[in-house]
Amino acid sequence: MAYRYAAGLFILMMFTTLLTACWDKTEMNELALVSMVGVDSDPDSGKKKVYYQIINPLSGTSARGTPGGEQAPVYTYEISGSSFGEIKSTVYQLLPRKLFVAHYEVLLVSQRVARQGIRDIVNFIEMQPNGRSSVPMLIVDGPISQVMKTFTPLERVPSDAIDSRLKLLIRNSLLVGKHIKVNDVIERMEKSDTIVLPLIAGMKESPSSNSGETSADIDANQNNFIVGGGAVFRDYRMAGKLNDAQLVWYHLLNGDRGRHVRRFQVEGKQVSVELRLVRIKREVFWKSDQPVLQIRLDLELSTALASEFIPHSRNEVERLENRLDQIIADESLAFYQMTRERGWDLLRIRDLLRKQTPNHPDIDRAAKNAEVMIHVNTRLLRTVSISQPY
Amino acid sequence: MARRKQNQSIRNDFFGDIQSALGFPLDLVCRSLFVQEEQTVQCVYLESMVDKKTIDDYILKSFTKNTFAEGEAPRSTESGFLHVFSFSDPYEELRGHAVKALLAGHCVLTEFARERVCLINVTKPRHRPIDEPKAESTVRGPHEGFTESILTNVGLVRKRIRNPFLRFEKMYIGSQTGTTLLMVYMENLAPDSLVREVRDRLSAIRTDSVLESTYVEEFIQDRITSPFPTLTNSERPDMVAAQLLDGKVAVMVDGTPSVLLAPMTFFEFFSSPEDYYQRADIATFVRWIRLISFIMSVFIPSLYVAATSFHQELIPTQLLISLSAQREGVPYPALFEVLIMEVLFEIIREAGLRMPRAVGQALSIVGAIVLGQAAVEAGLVSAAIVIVVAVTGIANFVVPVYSFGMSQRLLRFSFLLLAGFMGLFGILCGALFLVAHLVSLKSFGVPYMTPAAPFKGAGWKDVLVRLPRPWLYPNRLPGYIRNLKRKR
Repeated sequence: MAYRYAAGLFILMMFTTLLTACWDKTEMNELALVSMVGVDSDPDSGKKKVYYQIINPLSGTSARGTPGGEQAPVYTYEISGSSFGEIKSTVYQLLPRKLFVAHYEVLLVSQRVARQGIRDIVNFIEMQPNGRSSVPMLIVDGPISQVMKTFTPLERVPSDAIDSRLKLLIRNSLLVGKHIKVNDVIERMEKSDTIVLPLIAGMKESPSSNSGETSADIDANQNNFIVGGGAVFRDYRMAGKLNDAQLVWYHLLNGDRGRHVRRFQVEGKQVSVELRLVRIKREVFWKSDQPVLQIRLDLELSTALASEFIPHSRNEVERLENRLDQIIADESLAFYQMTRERGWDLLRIRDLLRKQTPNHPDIDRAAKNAEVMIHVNTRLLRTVSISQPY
Repeated sequence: MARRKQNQSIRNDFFGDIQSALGFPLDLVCRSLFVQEEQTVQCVYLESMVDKKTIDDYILKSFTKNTFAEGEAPRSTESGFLHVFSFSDPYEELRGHAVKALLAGHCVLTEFARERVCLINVTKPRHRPIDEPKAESTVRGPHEGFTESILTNVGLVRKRIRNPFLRFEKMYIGSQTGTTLLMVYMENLAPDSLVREVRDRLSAIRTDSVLESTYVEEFIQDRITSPFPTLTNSERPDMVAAQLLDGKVAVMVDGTPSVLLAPMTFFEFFSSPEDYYQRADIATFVRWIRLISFIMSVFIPSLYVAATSFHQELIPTQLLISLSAQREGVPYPALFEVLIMEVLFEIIREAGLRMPRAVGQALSIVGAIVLGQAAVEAGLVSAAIVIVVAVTGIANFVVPVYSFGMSQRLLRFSFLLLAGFMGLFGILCGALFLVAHLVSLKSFGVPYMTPAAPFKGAGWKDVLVRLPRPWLYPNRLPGYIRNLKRKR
């Protein structure tokens, strides 16, 4: 009986080796670890171009002490094809290892592709079995090949450099928001909303192709790229750009909570104030068949970074707070007017109306004609500790 | 007439017959006392087995002083000091008893005047002194260990449990070796059904020899085809005493310091007698460390192989880059890398056990170099593998019971192969098999996974958490022992 049982088990075990898992085995040194993907397309020929930035594992400190310091941390492969699917095969004309995209950190899309539409890119990513849509998508302002072929100082792997910059910007500014991933794009586009994705641009016309030169150069602004500005997307197409000043109001009105420092002019005096959103309340009420969006912003202020003017008395503090309430409300409203003129629903009024009145016959029109009221309530909570600045 | 003839043959041939029955051994001694040229007493013994001082001082001297005859010892039982047979008993029987007694370390005293043969127990136990057990060292708690002498072992247990309910049931097992075996239990604590079960299983053993308690264990364990032990063994009298007080049954085998204990459940392998020699919170923490070590020891190599060969998505990016860098230039797949290192480790471990002490140290140095930097620098294996093997190896030693550690080693290799063929899917299949197997196991009628399966809420007081001792009373006995007692 025991022999029969053992024999049965053995046969079963042998069958398991036929399972697909057995043939899925790939050793790590057979993989090309993709860290960043860039997508471009030639509008004339319609040819797609994909840049794969592959990590060179030996460039870092390796276990066997291989002198990898002189090697490039990443290699960029540029592959063209009629479609993204075709590129999956043609990539091996150049690439000696199996493409492994499960760990890529950043997706870059050239501006010309973004303006043509990114629907097919998003679809392609979503259809891949190992596709990863929880990566940030950035739009390249300028030639994408320049950004893809730029070595970054300090963070040796460019995708790490972008990823950490985005995280720092989300926390320490209102220039980048949290919803910049591919799946955020899909979610917003499917609801016919708008989304703003960060822009990235190279800082030098002819970047160095040598990582050694980059690491030896003291000027970190050379051979680098900068994250700044935003690309407005509507219906999978880039519809326009926002500058840094506009991005602050966009993110503030959409509830992002980064600490942003900005200089304001208050009663003829310059003052640098750090803003932080504490609470946001967005309510819609109807006034003679027209929706009114009331946004109430509670902000926390700090003058810890101010060197120009520091309020000293309670009276001065109150005056500063009141004045800033007014300035922020006015500028936000001006920002809203600008977006409305361009037909961008950046405050996502449509989404709000749809939630409140799902049966409204013409939500698009109602959203377009909506009136927006912004109330700002700021509180200065942190001031500097010196009573008399030098 | 016949009687006289038998007397004659005893006088003339008895020693010769014994000699030929034993094959003329070099340690067989025959000493005779003569009174006026007539042989009155013949004393035969195996020199290597007896205490000659006792024979000289108390037996032979008593004849010269004429004291032995006085106050004849009561006709004693089998295990007694003195057995007396008359010349009138059948000759073959007499010789058989004599040979058997000689082998047990008795002396055969033939008194011709009284026409009787006395078998006197003059065994000099030859065993090493009580020492600290090598396999189960302890920091706090008694350092005594059992020895090869069963009587010493009985004494060590008695010293700890001075209770009239402590029972020792004697049996002889092994047609060739005739090894003494003791079944030990507390009559008032051990469930009757358990005692009966152990007794039945012991009596059913049919074997020619028993040289170590594992011989017995293999006969009485619940399932032969399982890597998990359903009995435990210990060389520590305090551990055995504690288990007896928990209502369990111990089996002592003469000639080995390992005492068997039954029943055992899966979770009991993670507790050690030392848990009760330190504070409850520390004991609980250590118990968790043992559990984690068990999981690490069984699963870490297989998880490493599965993650690096099949599911690279699971590894954090930075770690993946680092691991990938380490694997550059390594010629073998991760499975073979781990297998090579694990087998090497097992070889060094086995060699370390057998090596003479003086060489052992050199071996461990060479082993460390082979398993360490040299293998990595030679490009045979990646550095992470060394960490994986080292961590697993160390984790394997955390479990207090050696035999349980052995089953972990077997499991580790099975899971490694499953992971190498099928990745996480294989590990999952293996884990399901393992769980199914564990819940199907029983140890002397007690489900192996008690109190997890079947779930017994009250049984958890001393499993994952060791409650302070005052909180364990009045029901300090393990839950399953209480259940067995209740069924009675």
